[in-house]
Amino acid sequence: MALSAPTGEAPLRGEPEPAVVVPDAEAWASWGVDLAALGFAPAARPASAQVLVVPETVPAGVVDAARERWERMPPPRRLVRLPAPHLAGRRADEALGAPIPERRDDTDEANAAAGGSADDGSHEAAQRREHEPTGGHDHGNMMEVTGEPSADGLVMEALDFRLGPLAAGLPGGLVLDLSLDGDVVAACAPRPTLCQPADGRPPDPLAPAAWTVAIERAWELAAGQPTGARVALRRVAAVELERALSHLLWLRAFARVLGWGELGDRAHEAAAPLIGARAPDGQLVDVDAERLAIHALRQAHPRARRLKVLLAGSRRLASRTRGRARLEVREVQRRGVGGPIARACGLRVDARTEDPLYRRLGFRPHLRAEGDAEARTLLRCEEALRAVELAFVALRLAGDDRARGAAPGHASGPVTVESARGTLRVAPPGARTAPALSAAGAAATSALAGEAVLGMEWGSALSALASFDLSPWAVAG
Amino acid sequence: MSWLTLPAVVAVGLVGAFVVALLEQAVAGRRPAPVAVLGRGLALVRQPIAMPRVKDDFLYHSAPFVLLVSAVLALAMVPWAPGFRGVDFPVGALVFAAVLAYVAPAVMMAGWGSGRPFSILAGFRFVAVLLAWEMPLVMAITAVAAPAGSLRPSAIVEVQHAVPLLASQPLAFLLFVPSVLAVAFVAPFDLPQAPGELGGGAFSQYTGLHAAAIALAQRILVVAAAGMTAALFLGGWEWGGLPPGLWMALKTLVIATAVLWAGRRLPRVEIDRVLPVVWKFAVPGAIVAIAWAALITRIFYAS
Repeated sequence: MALSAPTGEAPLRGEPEPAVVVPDAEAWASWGVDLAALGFAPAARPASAQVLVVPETVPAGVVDAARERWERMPPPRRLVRLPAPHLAGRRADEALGAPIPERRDDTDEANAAAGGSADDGSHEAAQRREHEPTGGHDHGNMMEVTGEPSADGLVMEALDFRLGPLAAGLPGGLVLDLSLDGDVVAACAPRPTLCQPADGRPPDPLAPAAWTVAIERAWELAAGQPTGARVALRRVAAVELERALSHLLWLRAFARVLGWGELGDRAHEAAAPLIGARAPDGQLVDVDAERLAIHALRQAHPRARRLKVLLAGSRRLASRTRGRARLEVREVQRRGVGGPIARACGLRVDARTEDPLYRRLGFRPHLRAEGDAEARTLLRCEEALRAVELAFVALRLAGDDRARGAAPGHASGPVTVESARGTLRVAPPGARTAPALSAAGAAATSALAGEAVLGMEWGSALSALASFDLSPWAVAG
Repeated sequence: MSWLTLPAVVAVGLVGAFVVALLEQAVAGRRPAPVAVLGRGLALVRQPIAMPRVKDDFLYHSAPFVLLVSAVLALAMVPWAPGFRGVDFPVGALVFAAVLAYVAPAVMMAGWGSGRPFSILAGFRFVAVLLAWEMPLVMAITAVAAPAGSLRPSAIVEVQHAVPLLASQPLAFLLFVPSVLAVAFVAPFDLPQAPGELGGGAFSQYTGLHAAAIALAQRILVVAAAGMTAALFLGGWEWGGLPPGLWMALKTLVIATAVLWAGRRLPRVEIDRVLPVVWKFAVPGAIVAIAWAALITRIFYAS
């Protein structure tokens, strides 16, 4: 599909200021805030940053980690609070100014310095500390020959620690319980730590459009109210715009993990217009928002296509991702994993295929067979381009006077919407019950990702883990 | 070598580091901002040095300066012009590799001294990298020394009066460039720092003067690597038409730009994939390069 030529943007000028970003730069971009345009670049370590960017309300899961980062930043340091009304949490001043509740031991400092954070103070965490083979007090023990030989033939003591929720290479809010045998991953358990209260806000702020559409459709279904064609097309556009932005921002973050500057630049270039057209709730509420989105999609399309050309058949990408964390189709099916991860294994798992409106738009899911980190990367890149095209067509049709009447749709059953990370399900509300929300396969994906990186060297493991695009937001449902 | 040599080398290092910082901005798609570079440097120097709880104070605090001294000594081996040949030891080309080997202890001291898991991991990583790449580095230097019959860098420059060694020894060049970049941990070989993987790695805790010393040392290493590549393979100050020093500066600038440009366009190498390649192919390749150097020296250079 050919959209019109881009109008172009002025390249970033001057030297961006290194900043510690809470929860992370990609989350802010998905809420329509381009930190690069504001002159900030995410810093890999607090010691090199003098700015802390936080939401006005800091989600509970990252409060302690944000405070630690703030305390580790050298003076003169500065706090930048950005509005994020859709986030539930503690006020930034209160969260960062509160005294540290307990003295942290060496393990916690070490973890925080390595990009990890202190434990959560729970009984489980205390037990975990007690059983750490390194004791958390003398990392010189890494050289002692006390354990079993690892995959690389060397004998080293395992190093157990918790990484996250604000760690370089991980989405802000995601925590890894990690055991390294030398530099080889012996155990890895990713889990989300962020959670929105069930107060009507979308449960995952990284996919507000998809959740809002699913919940609205569930209410409409319960009320027996048909959805207007124009409204349905606008919803498709909002969800697809969200998918395109999510995949492009994931590529940008993935490029940082790989240390591949050019990929990061290209992904940012493609994502920038969409960030500018994005409302924090992801909705396209009026004609002005539609016009802005159409303009942004026109700009983003050729850039996303260039990104696809950069990655297609790229030896540079293959050198880091080919054959990494390859998944078995049977295992993916057995665990009920969906989204791009399943499609990168060749499984036709996509809620959009069941949607008559998508079928009318000519949608067919992209599939790849390899099931490795390279396939997941290429698939997301292709999906981002296709999402831009779908959003554009949907908005054009929505603006057409012929888009009247009711949209085709299902009459019963749970509403399913395919988000950037997988299928969202909302059971229609009853007379006295709220809609029941669930993100299909999210927990299974985390577990599968943790298992897929076992035995890998840490750098390879982190890039393989990043290829799963795990959400740091747990859906309480 | 005179009493002015060391101050001159330091001056070249400072100017070169400044230019490299501007080049880094340019290859990242930003307009070079000299004032911002100076401002950032001054801000680092004026920043208070953080005193985190570390495992070994001596190792932790001395590592940045060991790194800086290694970088300056490596730079001192580069011959810049007939009238400014650096230290110009008779075995200067080999000393260049030897002082670069001290980058590894500096990284290991920083990682071990801070006692953080990823810092220590970064130190171990770099030792593995250095052990693998140092061999082809030294062997490539040996190959280009053969035609000159000397390990004196200025002698190697002068033997390229007619033909640069890049033309006669391309294999040695292909081995030297990644080796020197790996030892100087320039992207895509920035394994001990790996911002996206290790959160700053061995240097994650440093602030203030320490951080300034590390940043300066890294850029001086780029200048030294580019300068020595220009001297050993592109004829250094040779080629007429321009003042010799200007030729050398231009060649160094071109190589530094190419190196930084490539570092931006290549993903970071994976240690578990690159090390087997080095041991299996680069080291045997270096032996072939030496044999080739012996052959062409016998045919074309022996008098």
